Amino acid sequence: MKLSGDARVYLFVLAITLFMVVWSLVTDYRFESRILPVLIGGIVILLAAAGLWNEVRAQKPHEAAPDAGGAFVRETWRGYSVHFGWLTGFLLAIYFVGYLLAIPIFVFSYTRRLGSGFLPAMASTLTLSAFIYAAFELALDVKLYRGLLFSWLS
Amino acid sequence: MGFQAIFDALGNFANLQMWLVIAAGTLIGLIFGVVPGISGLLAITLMLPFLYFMTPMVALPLMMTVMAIQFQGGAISAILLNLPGTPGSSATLIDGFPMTQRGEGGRALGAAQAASALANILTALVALAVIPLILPMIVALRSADMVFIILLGLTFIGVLASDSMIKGLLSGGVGLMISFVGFQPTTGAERFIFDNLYLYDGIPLIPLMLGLFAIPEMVALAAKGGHIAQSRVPIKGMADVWRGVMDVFRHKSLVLRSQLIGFLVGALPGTGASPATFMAYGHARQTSKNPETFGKGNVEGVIAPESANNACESGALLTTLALGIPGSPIMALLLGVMTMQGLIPGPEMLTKNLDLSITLIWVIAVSGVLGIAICLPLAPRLSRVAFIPGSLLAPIVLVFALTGAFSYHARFEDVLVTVLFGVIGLIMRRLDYNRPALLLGFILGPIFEKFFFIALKADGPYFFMRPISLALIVIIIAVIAIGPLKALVKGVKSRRGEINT
Repeated sequence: MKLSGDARVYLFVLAITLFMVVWSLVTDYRFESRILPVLIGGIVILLAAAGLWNEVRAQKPHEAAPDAGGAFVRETWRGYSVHFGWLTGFLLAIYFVGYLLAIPIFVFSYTRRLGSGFLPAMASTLTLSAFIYAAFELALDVKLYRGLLFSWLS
Repeated sequence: MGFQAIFDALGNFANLQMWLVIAAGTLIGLIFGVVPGISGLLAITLMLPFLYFMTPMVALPLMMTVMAIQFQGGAISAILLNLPGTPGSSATLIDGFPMTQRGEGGRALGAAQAASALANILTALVALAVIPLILPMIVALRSADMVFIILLGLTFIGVLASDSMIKGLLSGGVGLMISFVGFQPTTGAERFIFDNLYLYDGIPLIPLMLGLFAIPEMVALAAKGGHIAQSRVPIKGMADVWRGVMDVFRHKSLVLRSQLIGFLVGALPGTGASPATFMAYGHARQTSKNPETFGKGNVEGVIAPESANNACESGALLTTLALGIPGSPIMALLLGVMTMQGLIPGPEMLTKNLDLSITLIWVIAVSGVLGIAICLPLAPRLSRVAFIPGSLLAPIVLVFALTGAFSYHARFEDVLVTVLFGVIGLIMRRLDYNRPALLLGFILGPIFEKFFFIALKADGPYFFMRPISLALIVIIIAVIAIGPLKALVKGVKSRRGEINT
């Protein structure tokens, strides 16, 4: 039997909450520390179980939600995963080369991938990189993460 | 005390900084309001890292202005482009765009802006007048009552703001469970940390908000591709716009009735502007002399929803300030920013921080005036903002989200948490779960636990036996039971109908 997206979410919530409730009961938390996780967790478990029961009983295909404009969203999980792949790439780039290099690389390549021309992509890359540097490093005095590469080099 | 504070708070408008903050908020709110698909909610989410570095007297008025003004921007794209800039502007396009197609776009725009500005001003004054009246009631609340007020707020948001009651309540419950992670100040216990130092302070608020609200919208926008707005109908000169402004004064009674609907629905926790606008639109149609022209470009169909959606914010703010229960999803973010600024949402905002609370209500009125002053002459130019292609917008917002997450505490783990909640937010968005309910549960979790702890210590295990608490419990049960009961009655009726036929 193939589970729907909702049923999978209910199962996941059920498992995590059950773990948290059991953990609260078996560890040496004081009564005041364990009561709410157990009470609220119990309610969450009941809700998730009820949702799962409804899903399994109904077994209806999930319909996409309408967007703000009333038109149906044409996005798919596959489409999402492609863009999350880009986001993960950006995250890895930040981790290895830091914000100051990762931002221009990501913005230019992702903007081009989404269909922008060379000039708009270049303009938005330069403007955004300069704005982020000015706003965070200069105005807010936040030292943005420099990445593993620069840590090794220095 | 209350009336004196109302005039004292006006003193905050004597300094230039406050006006600059409101002007900046007005521009941000208008721009984010105009672009369909990215509402004031996203604007405030992206502003979070900056708000963190500001004082409450700057951060909260800035945020309030964006919230109050977004509908004025939303009306521009609804009327000129047939796309609601914000979900609260959805009802405006039903008559607004047909007016534009008929060559009366300027008139519709003038009516929408004047109705919005008037709603901001009048309902802010009503909210100010109500505060001294509700203060004694707020002061009478005890910790036990607050426990059930918080539960009622979560129930309202869970049930009313979702199509599925289970999904709504589950989202709020999961938010509460997430809030239990980390150090518990009341008992000193470290819960669900698993020897990980990062989790000691709990899940951080800003990365959670950025992940839940900014990333899913942008990933969805990128996946959908293309421009948000497709075509534009030009508007005629300013004379047409002034005709629309005068329409609002010709329909005074409708304006006041729609504002009342918006204010009351807004004050109801968790409802937001959309239901209020459609209720006001329906009411305008029912009471109109020309109901047959609705949907074909009747100016009353623009005035009613625009009066209601702006009035909603004042009602929502009042509930948020007085009880710490957000009247709309965007108010849940306001609670987040209050928490971030070290303020405790709830009755304290109307006692210890009354000056700030009243200033926020004045901000709604002032931004209404400023909004119309900017909107009327700039509306055609502002509508061009809606033509920003998603290919430029998505990378910019994603960069802001991940940079903002890091700037919170300069920890790389916060960026990972943002992406993690981005995944959770996207799944919730796609499957129609209630993200504001999760956020509300997360924000109110520690406050809920504090009141619960105090009530337990002060009144023992039967703390819920107070009359107010019992009344709140009855309301909670009624809110949860009303949906299933309706379905049951409907089922019985349809079965009877089948037997009879």
